[in-house]
Amino acid sequence: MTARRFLVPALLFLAALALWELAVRAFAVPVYILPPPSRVFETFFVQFPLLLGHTGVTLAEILLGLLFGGAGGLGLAILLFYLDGLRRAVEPFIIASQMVPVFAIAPLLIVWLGYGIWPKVVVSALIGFFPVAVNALDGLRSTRSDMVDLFRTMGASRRQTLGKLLLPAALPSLFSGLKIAATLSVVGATIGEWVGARRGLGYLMLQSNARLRVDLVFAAILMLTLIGLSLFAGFRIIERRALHWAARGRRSA
Amino acid sequence: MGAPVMLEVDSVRKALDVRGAWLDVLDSVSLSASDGDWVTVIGPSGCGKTTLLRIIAGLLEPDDGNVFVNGECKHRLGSAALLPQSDTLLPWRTAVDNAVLASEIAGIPRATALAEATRLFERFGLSGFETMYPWQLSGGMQQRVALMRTFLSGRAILLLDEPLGALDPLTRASMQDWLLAVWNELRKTIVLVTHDVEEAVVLSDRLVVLTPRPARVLSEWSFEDLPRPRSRGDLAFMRRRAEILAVLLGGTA
Repeated sequence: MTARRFLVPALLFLAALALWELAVRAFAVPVYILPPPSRVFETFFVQFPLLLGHTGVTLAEILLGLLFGGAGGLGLAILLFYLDGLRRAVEPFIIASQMVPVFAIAPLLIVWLGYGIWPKVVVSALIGFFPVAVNALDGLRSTRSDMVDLFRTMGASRRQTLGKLLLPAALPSLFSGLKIAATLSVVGATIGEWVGARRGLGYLMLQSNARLRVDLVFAAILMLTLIGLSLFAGFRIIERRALHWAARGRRSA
Repeated sequence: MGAPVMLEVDSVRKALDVRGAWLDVLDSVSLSASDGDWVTVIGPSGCGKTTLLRIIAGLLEPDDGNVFVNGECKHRLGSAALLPQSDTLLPWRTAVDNAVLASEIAGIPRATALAEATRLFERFGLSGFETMYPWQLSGGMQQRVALMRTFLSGRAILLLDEPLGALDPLTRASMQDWLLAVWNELRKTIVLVTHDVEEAVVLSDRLVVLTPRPARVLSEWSFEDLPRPRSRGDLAFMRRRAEILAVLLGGTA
């Protein structure tokens, strides 16, 4: 079943690549405008050591951003869950903060934090934070009240109720948030690098673009896509493991 | 004779806020149970039986009147074990981990709790299902796990809110016989809420019949003259059942 699920998207992908290749050749598009996919893959492999060097920095930014954004989001969700007054007070600001384009403050972060990885980590964390906080809070708040009552009759402490009931119950929502954050954090790190960096895939894209090495831009995009997909898949695997008890209705147990 | 009084409910009155409107739920309800008693509460649906159990458990405070559990009035939350009406097994825990939840919260060493649970799994007819998740068990089995969790709580008083309500009649009858056998062995004080007259007569020492909302005690019955195990086809049994049903339907004693 799994093979079949991947077959159709894979065929579609190959068809799109073939169309691209044919179009570029048929209209004789110059390589510095749009390279054919064959050229992109060639560059990807020929320039692999160069790409890998820049990937390390970008990956570190993404992972640190996810870590801080995820931990911050979950922490805030727990805090707001318990302090309902605070939740009412700050919820409008949390939503409003999402209307501020984070990329617009990226230059400021460079001014404040320098050219190192930290401004990128902050941008990445800031945009990953929101989906985690919102989803985790939703999950915590949707815990059944009769379950909470049951824990009270068992004499459970606040900490026991959180650890044994609220967090496990919120886990599915938390994972939804983390999967969104994983994809956003790649965008965050890339934009952070565009604004000012000396290394990283975003930096490589800018440099290559300036030199009309469009094939290398595409190779960098391919690498970023692979990073995003791996992160998403990684969270999916952890999610399946952690939520194996929710196997009801799935094909395999 | 002369067993200590475990539970004393004295002229309890309670109004609840139901979507902005105050609803008188309990008008004046009194009942008492000695150590090892089985007291059943019956009444028309929506008459406040569940509210009464929640008050006894300490989840709600009465507007008027007193509740003493084990002689304790103020801090009774945690002194009686509650089995809520809805399905309250934690889906991420196996049957045995659900069964030992209360012991775990009370800080009883896991080995001790598991040893006791394993013994009861046999008694509850669940041997071999210890490591199954709730969704892998039938409704009757899930309910037995929930009952086991209540019995394993270490509390002397068990509050059971329509524990067999969701089961089909056949499973229900066999569960009644089985529940009686378990109670005989473990000797707990039980307050059972049900809407099934037959169930009340099969199981309990005494029966408290409530009026429609706001609930008052309509009549009290003792079944001490009916020796256990009670046969559902027995003439005295059927006569008693008919009398109670007539009172319930007539609404007056």
